[in-house]
Amino acid sequence: MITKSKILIVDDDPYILLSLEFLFKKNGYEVLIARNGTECLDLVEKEHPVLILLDIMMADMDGFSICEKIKSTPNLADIKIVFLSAKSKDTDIKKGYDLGASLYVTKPFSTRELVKQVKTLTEVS
Amino acid sequence: MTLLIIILYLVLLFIIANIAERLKSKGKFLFPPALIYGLSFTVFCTAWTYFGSIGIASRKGIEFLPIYLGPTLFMPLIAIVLLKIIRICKSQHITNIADFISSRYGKNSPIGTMVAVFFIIGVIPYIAIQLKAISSCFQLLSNASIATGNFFLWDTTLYITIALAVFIILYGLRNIDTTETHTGIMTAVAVESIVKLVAFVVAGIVICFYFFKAPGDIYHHPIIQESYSHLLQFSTNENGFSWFILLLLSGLAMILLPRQFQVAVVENIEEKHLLKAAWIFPLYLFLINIFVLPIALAGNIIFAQSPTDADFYLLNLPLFLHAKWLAVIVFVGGFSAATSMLIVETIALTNMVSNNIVLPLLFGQKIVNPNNKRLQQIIVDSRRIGVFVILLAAYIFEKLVAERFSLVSIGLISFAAVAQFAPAVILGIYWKQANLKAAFTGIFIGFACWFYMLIFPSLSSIHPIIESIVKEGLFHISILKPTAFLGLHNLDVLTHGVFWSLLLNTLSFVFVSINFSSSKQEEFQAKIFVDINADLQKDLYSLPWKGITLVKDIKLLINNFIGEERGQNLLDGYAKRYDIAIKNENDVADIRIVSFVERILGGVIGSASARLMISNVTKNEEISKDEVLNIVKESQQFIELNKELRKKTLELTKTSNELKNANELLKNMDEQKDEFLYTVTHELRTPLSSIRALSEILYDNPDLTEEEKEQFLATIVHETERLSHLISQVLRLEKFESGRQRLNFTSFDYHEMIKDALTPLQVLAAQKNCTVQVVKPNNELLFYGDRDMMNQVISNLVSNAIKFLDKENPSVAVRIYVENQEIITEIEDNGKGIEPDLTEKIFDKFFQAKNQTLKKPEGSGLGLAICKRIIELHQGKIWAVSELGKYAKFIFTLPLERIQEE
Repeated sequence: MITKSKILIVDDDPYILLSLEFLFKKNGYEVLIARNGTECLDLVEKEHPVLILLDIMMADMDGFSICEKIKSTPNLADIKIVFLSAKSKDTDIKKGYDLGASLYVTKPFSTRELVKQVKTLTEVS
Repeated sequence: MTLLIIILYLVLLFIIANIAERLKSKGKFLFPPALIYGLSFTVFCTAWTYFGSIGIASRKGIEFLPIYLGPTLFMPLIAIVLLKIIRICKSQHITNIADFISSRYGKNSPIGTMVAVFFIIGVIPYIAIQLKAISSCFQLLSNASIATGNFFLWDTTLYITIALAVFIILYGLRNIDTTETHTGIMTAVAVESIVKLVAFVVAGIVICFYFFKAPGDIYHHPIIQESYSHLLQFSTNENGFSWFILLLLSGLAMILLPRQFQVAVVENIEEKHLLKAAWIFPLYLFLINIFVLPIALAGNIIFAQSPTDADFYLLNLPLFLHAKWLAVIVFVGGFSAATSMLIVETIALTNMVSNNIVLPLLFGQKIVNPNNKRLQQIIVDSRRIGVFVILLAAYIFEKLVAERFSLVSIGLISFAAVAQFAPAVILGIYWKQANLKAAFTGIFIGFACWFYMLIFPSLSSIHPIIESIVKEGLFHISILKPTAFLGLHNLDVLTHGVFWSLLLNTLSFVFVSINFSSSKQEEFQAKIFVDINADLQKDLYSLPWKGITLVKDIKLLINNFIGEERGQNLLDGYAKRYDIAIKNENDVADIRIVSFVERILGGVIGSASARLMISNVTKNEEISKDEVLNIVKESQQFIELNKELRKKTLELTKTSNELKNANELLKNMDEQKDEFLYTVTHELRTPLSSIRALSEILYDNPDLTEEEKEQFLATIVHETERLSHLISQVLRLEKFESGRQRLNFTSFDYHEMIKDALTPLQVLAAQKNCTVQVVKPNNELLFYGDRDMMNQVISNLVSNAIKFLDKENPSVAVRIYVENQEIITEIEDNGKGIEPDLTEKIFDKFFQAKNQTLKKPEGSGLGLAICKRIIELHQGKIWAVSELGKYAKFIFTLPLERIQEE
């Protein structure tokens, strides 16, 4: 039995979560949900997903700091981070990549594209 | 006998003068110079003092005093003015009043001549009176001893006059340079003043204490008590004004009489001697006047039965009382008084005539060439002749005319004449605007009045026409009467005449000065005179010469006028002091040398002539006076400009700072706008994301469950709505921000509006089981504002309140009350409240409360921002008060009286 890959989706917008959860469940992933930074880090520790779909604008912590935190934790550093944000400035994108993200996707996004890219990223593991 | 004494006295004077001059050439002084200076002021006291005062006192009592009170009272003022005049004269080498005026008003020759002529007219009678006094004394004394005829006496006075002329020539004209002080003469004059005083005092003591035992006896003598008691009192007020005029006249005379000017200014060696004179002179006046009244009264007593000329009481009393020795002493004193005046006055007048009448005439008519080798001799000779001429003129005047007038009245008329120069001199040294035309006008008008009102009336017996003018006024116009001009008829002739002449003189002087301009030369001179005390570059006193003046020409000039040896010494001394190289004969002379020579020449021939001399030897025009005055003005302008510049710089700096600030503000606003734009688009993208994602999912997954389809579609619809709502809110806010929001102001009932706003929310409230309570005053409350906007505010705030409720018994209270001309509205809920440090931030755009856990709250985050904007547009304020977990209260104020905004 193929183990389902675990991905974590972090966003404070419930409707985004709704769509993304359905999307990736449909595509055979095990989907974990976090609505804020605290929940996120918690789940990361516990579940060690292979990839995180990370929103940036969130209430308690923004995505950048979460990414930074994860990438600087040795045993978590291998987790792939995909930023998913409405922030589209060049500086934001650059920052994201500098912090070690594997991908930066701007909202609104194409579901088909997103799935393809996530699949690519999670295949090689 | 008397004659012998006089001759001896004269010889004594000669000797004293001689000794003094010899000592001076060795650098010593017979008497301390300060003392001599101070005593020399007493030439003021002439035979008039000696004899005339007693005459007045015998008739009018204390009326003799003002002439001496004047100088005493005004001494401080006089000293100040004299000091300035001394400084000017010493620096400009001015040696008489005519030259002073000529120099001040642009080194103008004609006015110098006019002034000199008027001085002669005014002063020669005064000199004549002294001669008359001497001859009268002779007459009286001789009558007592020898019976002689007129012829003898006539001769005696003439010989005395000649002797005096010789004295003056020997000791008064020693030097062609009139700036030289006359030590010999001044010493003699000082000695004479002591003699005057001693003689008078001795006579006074003898008369009062020997013949009357005590002055008290005189005052209380029956004759005095009966007929002359009025002499001991001050008369009524009509005398007040004439006293004032007399005080003024005598004060001015201290400066303007040629002999006073000579003694105080020209003969001054050191400025500080003025201080000594300032107390010696008044003291002298006091001492010499003590006995005037007692002697006058004594005369009245003794000669009550046989009236005598009161002017000569001082001689007649001793004669009557058989004390010939006393009479002789008195005569010597009187002689001293008369001759000291004569000597000094003649020197001064000669100076004036020579420099301001004769020399301009000679040079101007080209009768004499400045290059004439015998120039000095010519000048000296002309002065000698001048002395004789003046004294002779006085002598003739005395013989012909003096009979008519008393000693005193001529003296006063003389005072009145010299007073006419007061505006030109005194205003001239304090007011730069005083100009040449004004001086001409003032002096001319002054003298015209002087003649018309003071001389004319005494001439009525000469011709009937004169008599009719005096009686009825000029052209039979009574207000033009010489003794009652413009109807002023309560004054005595002198007071009347002086008042009008000085008034019209001064007025016309001031008027012309203000309304007419001066030439550059006048301005230049004015500056030198008025600013003499300022620290000017001491050598820039003459208008610089632009032209070429050759050294040899300058040397020739100075040698011609002063003598080769002296001229050379002066030049070398000056050159050494100021480090100027005297070049060769054919080189151009340094400007400073030229100016120096001009000044020296001024001392010899007067400043106007000196200027003329220099211009004759200078080729090319002098620097256009424009240029020079421009330089002076430029430096003034420079200072002004500097001030302006500094002011402008400050302003500029201020403006530049303001611009910088405005720029910063604009940049900030620009950035803010960018921020805003960015934030807005970011907010819009979020719902759009969900819409897109869910739409794609629906499209790609036809095999969704009905339930799932429903959920997704509902979400899409919901987010679409959210998106639209967001867009409209943003647009509305932007409208507010940019000021394009049109407000529709009407007068409406506030409570009605509240009711309308709350009605649609009842459903929502009911859903949440929330009570909405309104607390308001009963009466109608009219408010002038935009009803719909206010509606939105209430709606927004109340719906927020309802949304954030979390208690068991949720409630929202709306309270309205009026205080201080404002409507205050409070919306309070008992929900979870707001964190303390967020109570201000919640009004920011896109702000949404951070501690949400489950659900993102509804709304755009712009609602409160819009509310705030609306309240502000109504000139109110809105804020929030809260206690976390307990309640949240939103309060806003709305002023009832709004300032109209266009």
